[in-house]
Amino acid sequence: MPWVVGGLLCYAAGIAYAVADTVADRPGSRKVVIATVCGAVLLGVAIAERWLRSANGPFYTLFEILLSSLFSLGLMSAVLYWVAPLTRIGAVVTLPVLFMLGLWALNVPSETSPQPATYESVWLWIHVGVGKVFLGVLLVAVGVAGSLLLARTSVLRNVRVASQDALYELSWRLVAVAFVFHSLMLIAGAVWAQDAWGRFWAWDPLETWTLITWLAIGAGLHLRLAYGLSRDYGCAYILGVFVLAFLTFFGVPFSSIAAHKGIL
Amino acid sequence: MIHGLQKLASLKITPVAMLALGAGVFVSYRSGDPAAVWVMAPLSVLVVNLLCAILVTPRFRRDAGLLMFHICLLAVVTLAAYGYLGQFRGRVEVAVGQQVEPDMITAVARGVLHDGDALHRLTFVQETFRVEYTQGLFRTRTLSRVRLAGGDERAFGDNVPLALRGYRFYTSSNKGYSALVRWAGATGGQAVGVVNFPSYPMHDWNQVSSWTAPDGSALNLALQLGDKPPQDKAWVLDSSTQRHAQLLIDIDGQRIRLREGDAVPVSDGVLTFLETRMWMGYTVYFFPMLNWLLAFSLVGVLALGWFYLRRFGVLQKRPLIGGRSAIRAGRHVDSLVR
Repeated sequence: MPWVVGGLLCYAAGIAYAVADTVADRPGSRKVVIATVCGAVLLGVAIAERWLRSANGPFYTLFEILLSSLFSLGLMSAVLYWVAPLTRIGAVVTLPVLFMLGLWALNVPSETSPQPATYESVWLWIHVGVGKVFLGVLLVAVGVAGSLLLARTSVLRNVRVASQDALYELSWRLVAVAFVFHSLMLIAGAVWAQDAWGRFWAWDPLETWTLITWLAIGAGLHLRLAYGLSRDYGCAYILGVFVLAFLTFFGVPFSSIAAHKGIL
Repeated sequence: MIHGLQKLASLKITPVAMLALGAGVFVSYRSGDPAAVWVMAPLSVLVVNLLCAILVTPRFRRDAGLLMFHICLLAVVTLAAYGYLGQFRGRVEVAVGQQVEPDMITAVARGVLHDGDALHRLTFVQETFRVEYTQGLFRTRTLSRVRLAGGDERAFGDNVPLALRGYRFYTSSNKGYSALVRWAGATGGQAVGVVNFPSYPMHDWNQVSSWTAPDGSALNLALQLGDKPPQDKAWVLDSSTQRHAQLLIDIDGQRIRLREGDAVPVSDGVLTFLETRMWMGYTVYFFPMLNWLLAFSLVGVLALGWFYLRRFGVLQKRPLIGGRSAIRAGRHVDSLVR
């Protein structure tokens, strides 16, 4: 648990740097990236330590899934902040989301639990891996879109009008990349479900909500092309898609007794 | 003609139909009917819209990746529809030493195009099986061994099914004990039957079942196994470990206890309890063109990835989304994404 707390403190430091950058009216600094990387590393150590202790990967309980998401979302954010510095402007939105996810993780039971044999599959790794990339890229897209919406309220004054078009375009490109990974997640999940439960699709709650999320993202990409969504509506749509994806990832599996848990 | 196709191919239809499909999926999910009109109607609109778009939209001809993705999407929908029409899902319980017969397989779902005769070509004999549990009776690994018609043996379980002529047999959580009984009629007829009792250890407290003898009389049976599985340590349910249970049978309001080898007179004959065995439950799955479905899905997504790589300029060595100098300067950023 100390590693988890340490990781969250790093994310908190990242938030402080992001807010300071915003208040000082300057673009996202490298300190935000470093704090996010440090947080992800510490959370990675927390996962490794737990993995060695229980011999189970972080796939099954709510705590494990929150922990692995804290790590992977932080890592994806840091990578994108590094390779595409424009995205750092969204840290003021994304890092608080991660921090709240961390507070949630600290408040759920952290006991280990044995995993069903169906979890011993390489397809589970692929399914979860591309799923994390999907949510990570979408989270950064939400950060950029959220910062554009904040710019309307004069909170982010450094988002100049000239750069808003670029940021808006960037946010939709990230959504497009997320869509590709979401599709891969669906395919890998179907292969795993076929092996694990003898069917590739069964309209279980998680599958159904994942399909709805996929359709919502696809519809968004087409809406923008066909109807030329205004910047505000487009950003709000991205936020809505993220809320849908977030509830699918972290709500549905734990509000349904059947969703993706297999039948013991 | 072309004008009509262009109208049907309108991009303005696509997102509306996709959102309608999403809403339809939600409504159908709540109602429990995935083939409801709420799903089929917008899906049909999308298929027509996509087919027309592939035929008449110049954009598709300009970009092979985008075209390939949408063709694959159409193929996936078509293959999924064909698969559902030809699918078979079922379950079967097989006792150790018993041979699977087609009439033992209970159909759960059967598509209208499914070839029922194919089931007659599926046969194997159940050999042993083994199920591992951790402390607290949490099921982990399952391993089942069967003998095929040609004499070959196969071992499988959990993520690895037994594949027979395109059908897949998956080990399930259902398994338990059975009683091998022989009924001998007063007029000379004789039959041997296997009576499977409820799944064990999930229903260890309720090992009751019924069996209809060849003369039509129904017999109520119970199996008394003795020890319960331990909760405080790891445990293995192994069909090769011989267990001698007692069979309880209700006759004329009286409960009679039989050991292996014991016989008791029943209505028009004699029932003999031969031995205690175990049975394994399988789910049976057949979905035609399943591998093609996977292939088209993968090719489609890879084509979409290729399309975005080209579209965003990654393959043209152009900066995708800015650089350090750009953000420091705080300007020119809009030109970098064009």
